[in-house]
Amino acid sequence: MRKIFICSLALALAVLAAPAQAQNLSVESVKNSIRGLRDNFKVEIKKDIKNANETKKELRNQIQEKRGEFQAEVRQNREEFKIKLEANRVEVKNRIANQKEELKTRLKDIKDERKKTLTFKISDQIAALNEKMTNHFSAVLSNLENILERIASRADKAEINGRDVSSVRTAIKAAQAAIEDARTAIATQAAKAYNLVVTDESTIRTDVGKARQVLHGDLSAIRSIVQSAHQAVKNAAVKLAQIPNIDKLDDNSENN
Amino acid sequence: MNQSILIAIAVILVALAGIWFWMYNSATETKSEQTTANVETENEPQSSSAASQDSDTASAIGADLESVDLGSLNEEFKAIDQNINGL
Repeated sequence: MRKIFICSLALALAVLAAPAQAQNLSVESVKNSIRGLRDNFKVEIKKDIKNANETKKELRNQIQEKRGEFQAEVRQNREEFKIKLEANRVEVKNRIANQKEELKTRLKDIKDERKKTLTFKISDQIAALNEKMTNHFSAVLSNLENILERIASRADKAEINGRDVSSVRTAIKAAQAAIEDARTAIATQAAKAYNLVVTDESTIRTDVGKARQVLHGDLSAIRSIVQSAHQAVKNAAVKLAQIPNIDKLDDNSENN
Repeated sequence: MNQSILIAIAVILVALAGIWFWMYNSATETKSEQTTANVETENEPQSSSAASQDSDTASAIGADLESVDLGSLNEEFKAIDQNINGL
């Protein structure tokens, strides 16, 4: 009897313990599956991060390559312009020398020595001013080009960080074209020589004034073209400044 | 007697080595401090001057664009005009 009692007690305990055991088993399996999911998730996240970093690295390389091409193009344009300008200067110096000889012949009949001296001086001043202003405008264009390179560099950083810089790129291209137009105009201007056609002592002031007027008109036109290039670079800078937090973005920024 | 002399010499040598080590260390520290200070003072003007020309921040670019001077043609023609008026 006692044995039966002990056996039935053991059986009852086993029956009572069975659901608990089963419950323990199911909790363990849920825990395991959660752990598995978490591990898978971690692996996936790591993969995604790795892919994103690789994509970013690839984009950075592409942009750096483009930047290199842009800088090479700028250098080439600058060199070509320098060579053309120098060639035009040499050519114009020869022409100015010839014109000076012609002027001497024309001024032979002028009796007033002071007027003669002054006319020669003005002829030299006109040539010198043309050279000075074409040099000045060339320097302005080089400065604008440097600024444009910095705009492009900042746009690159923004693009690496996922910003839309298409409007900045369009404005940069327009500015580059404007700078090239201005350079062509300056090279043409540098090749110009202003001939003082003096016909008579009584009209000498008007005759010399005509050459002065032509030079003024030409330089004003060049100034307007350079001003347009300046405005085009400004437009690119404005487009750049419109990108949110533009100054905080850099090559290695993770600030997306 | 000999042993005590040897001990005294050893103590003196240890003391001298200690003094030399202390002096060497303090000299090196002063030198490195001076070098750091020099590097700092040399870098300051460079970074401030480079900031406006090399910086590609929108604000620095804007400031440089504003400072571009196209020049005044009327000013440049003044000397020629004076001489023309003298004809």
